[in-house]
Amino acid sequence: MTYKIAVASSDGVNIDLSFGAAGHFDIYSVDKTEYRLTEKRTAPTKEESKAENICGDEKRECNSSCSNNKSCGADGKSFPKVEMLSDCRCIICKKIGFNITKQLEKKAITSFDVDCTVEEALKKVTDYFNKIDNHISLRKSAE
Amino acid sequence: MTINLNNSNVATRENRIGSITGYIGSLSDLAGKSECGTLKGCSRCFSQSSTCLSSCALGQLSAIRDVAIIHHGPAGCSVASAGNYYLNKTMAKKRGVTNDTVYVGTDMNENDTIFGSTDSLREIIIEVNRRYSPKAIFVTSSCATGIIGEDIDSVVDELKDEISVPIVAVHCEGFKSRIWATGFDIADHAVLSSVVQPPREGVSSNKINFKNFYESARPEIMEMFAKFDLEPVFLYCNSTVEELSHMSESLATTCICGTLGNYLGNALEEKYGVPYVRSINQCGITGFETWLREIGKVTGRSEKIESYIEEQRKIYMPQIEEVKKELKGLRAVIGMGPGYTFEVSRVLNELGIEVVWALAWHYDKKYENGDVPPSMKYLLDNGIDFEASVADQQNFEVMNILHKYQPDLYLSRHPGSTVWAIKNGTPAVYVADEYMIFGYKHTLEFAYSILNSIKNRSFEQNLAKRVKLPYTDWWYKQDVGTFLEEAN
Amino acid sequence: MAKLLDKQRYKCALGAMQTVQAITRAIPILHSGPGCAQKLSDGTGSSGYFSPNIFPCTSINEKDVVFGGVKKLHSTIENALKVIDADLYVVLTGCIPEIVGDDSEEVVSQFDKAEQLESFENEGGDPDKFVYKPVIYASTAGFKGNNYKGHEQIIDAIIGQYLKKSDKRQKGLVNIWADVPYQDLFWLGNIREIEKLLSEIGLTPNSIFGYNRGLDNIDKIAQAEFNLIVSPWVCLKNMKKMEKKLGIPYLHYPTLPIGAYETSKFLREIGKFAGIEQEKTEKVIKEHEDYYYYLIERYADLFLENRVINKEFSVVADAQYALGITKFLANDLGLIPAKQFITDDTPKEFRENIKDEFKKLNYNLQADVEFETDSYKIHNEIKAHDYHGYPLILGSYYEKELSEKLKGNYLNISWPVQDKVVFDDFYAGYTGGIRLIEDIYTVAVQRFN
Repeated sequence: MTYKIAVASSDGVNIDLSFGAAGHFDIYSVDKTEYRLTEKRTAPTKEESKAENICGDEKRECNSSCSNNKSCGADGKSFPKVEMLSDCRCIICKKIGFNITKQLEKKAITSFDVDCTVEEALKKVTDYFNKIDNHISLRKSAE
Repeated sequence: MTINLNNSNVATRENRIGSITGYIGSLSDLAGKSECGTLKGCSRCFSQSSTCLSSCALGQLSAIRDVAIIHHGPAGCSVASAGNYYLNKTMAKKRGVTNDTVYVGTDMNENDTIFGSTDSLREIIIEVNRRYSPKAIFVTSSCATGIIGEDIDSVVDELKDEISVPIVAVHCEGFKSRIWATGFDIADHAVLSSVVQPPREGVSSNKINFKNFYESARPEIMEMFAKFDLEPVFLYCNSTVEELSHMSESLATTCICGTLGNYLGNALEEKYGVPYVRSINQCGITGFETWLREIGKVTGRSEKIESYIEEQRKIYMPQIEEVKKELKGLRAVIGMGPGYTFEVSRVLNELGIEVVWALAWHYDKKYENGDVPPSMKYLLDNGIDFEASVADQQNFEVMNILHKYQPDLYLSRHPGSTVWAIKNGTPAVYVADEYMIFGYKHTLEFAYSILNSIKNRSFEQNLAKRVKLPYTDWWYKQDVGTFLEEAN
Repeated sequence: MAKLLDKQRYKCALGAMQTVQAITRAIPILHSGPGCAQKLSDGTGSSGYFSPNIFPCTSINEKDVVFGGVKKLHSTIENALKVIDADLYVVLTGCIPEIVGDDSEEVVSQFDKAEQLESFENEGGDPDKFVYKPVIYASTAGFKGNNYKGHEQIIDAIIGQYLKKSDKRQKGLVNIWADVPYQDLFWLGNIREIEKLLSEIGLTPNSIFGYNRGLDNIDKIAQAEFNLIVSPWVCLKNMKKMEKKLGIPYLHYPTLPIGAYETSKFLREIGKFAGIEQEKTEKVIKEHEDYYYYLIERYADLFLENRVINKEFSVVADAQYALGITKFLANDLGLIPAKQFITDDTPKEFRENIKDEFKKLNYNLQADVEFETDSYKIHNEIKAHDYHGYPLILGSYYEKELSEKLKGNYLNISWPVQDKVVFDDFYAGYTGGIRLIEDIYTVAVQRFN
């Protein structure tokens, strides 16, 4: 079973971007514990979001104009960035807003907010998923 | 719609509805943001112990009569079996029936975690079946079995051919979710996927599926519903597998608490067309009347229900107005699951008591079908606002709030929580029984419980003078949100 | 191998948190899932200065499993030291971190004295003053064993990480190790009663569990003349460790003394070991026995003319109570032991010795004892045995229904307990024996024949 992991990194080496700040995501395709970078996806801009009448700013304070609109969350639409990543199994960033985490989880997308290198994160996550999928123990092996 | 009965692993509550733990603000804030799905929650860098989700899941399933629960894990996980044994025997005796449900553990040891124990599990299931001939078997995992990759699903699938009764895997790997009420959904999912049958042809029913905890008000509810030509079927305490298999034939489903019942209610509606009564809880006057009227609407019994309401109001309203006079001006803090916190806030408001802070242990942003929880909606529509936090049963936050606000009263529903208020000198009412505020009669009793708790403060004052609370002075000076890590 | 725990009698090793809770002003910090503490606590009697809701817990989630939970553990300990006012912090690890490999021991070592991390003086003192608060660690993953083992782990941790050998010895100071707190129903009262008896013969008892017994008592351990262990097997390995590390000898008294016969024997043996003048011990014994037998004599009619208590009995409990009660009923009350059942999963190396103890009854009576954790088998054996009258069954709440079916006389004395509430009542000693008689006969008088 292959799947995709999206990573928010400015240089491909460190996980150094928060979900909100990430202008693009590195998409890795994973097969068991082997992963490789297959594409870079650019996040939709604010203008594009506005055009679709969907709030694209995750950090805003919700005010009455928005609740009149009722076009996010309440009717099931999630942020465009989240939509864009809906074919991924997992998202890894430096920080992820709780709100986004919930939207991701509604799509059964796991998210981790960590502060380490891309390689370390991918290694750990792919190892974890591989073991969960194949009923292998997560016991730490003696090195 | 997110309900998928073919998958044994129900998406945890956090996944499915967008629940949050860790939020501080005001109620209207919480509700307003919930409508737009913009709620910011926070995680914590210091937390205290709360509850295991398997307690909720297995507490529900183990209350069904004559079934077997096989909890695969170390001995600690199945400790609940002791309490369950006692509850089952006592509750069965109360109803005048027998309950031979068994709840066994597998005492997983270190060897099992290294080499796996699915073979032993298989043998244990077969042996339990041989000993007790249960009507259904629920095989549960635990954190430990999840971590070592035990394939419970395969064991159960293989045994389906050998065992003639429904056998289903129930997933309780606790590390996957922090919001404990998920357990109720897990139990519902297990029952729906293995026990509930499609409705039989040509069967008409006047039954209502009634989901609750310990049916303390069963006799009076049966008497009341008989007036409307309705027969409530109480779940899961004392339910039989036979009874549950026919839930799909009922006229409607209702529950005593939104958190408890919304998975079952929605699933039965979606799969079998059994309408789910969505309403605020039956707590207090407005709650009870709204709920009854909704039932009337769904089951076509509105006329009978209206005359019942009228009759009961004549008896109880004058008494309630009397006791309200003595409750006026009291200030309260509430700490309960969301199904109850917002409901009880409404009742306190009805009784003239001001709620200064409400801690909902977790908070369901939306229920299954995408609407904001009705109890929340009611408060907003009626302009009732107060400070709210979503505390995930964190005792140190509760204590901080009580210390700052010094309310007249603290109400809670979870064991171990009220005692702390008392030590702070605050009278506490343990709203344990789900029927404590049910209908006119119990609302009146509830009002008197509060009044009596306030009148005689001997117990808590005596204790508070002598005991020292376990927190440092430093903590009391901090802001309640000190340990919440900011969300983006 | 996983085994069928049908009607279980114990908890997992993480139940050790109750042992920590029993030490005044000591608090466990759990590196585990969020629900372990509540699950492992009983509904009654688990409150106090600290209760399970207060225990700091890392509440392990998926991220901790994938990326490790040591950072979270560190922050939890650090903040616990700031928020909770305790004297001793004991970090306990649960199932998950031990399997995924969190090095909790290493994290705890960072809070060693050398680091002098912040703690906050709390009695209205200077908030900038730093006070050293000991933080120790025990590996108590649920799958490592049951809570009897967990109890031993805590004492081990205290010995290994906190206690230091002392050259000073306080004359007459004796450390007492008996009941497992919270697991044994009468733990608080029993330990107090044993302390009292030792004081009467001129010794100075020291115990670390219960009311007002905490870090100060732990600090005294190393100065004791000897350790007294009143238990068939639990804590025996701790005694050996203390002998080695602290140079303190121990006296192993396997039977919990209940009633006059055993308690007098108990006092004589301790008196001898401790070098107490025989005359003094005998004086104490006589005084107690005189009163004890006055009561027995006065109620002789109850014993001899009651129509409902027959001679044969079975005890279903841990080794401590199975042995203690069997000896009392046989040697004091003259009853006949049928089969006895020990349900604490006693380690194999101790079983022979314990079986031998059951053979040391008066009049060459020998009690048959079985080590069994599967209650289905226990109940079948009880049903199959002919008690030649109403069986007297002392066990856990699981035995209640069985006893009713057999028309037996039943007393709830071992975990789980639902049928009685015990604050500080006890069965140890002379007075304890009287209490047990009262309880048994209170059951008996509920019916005439």
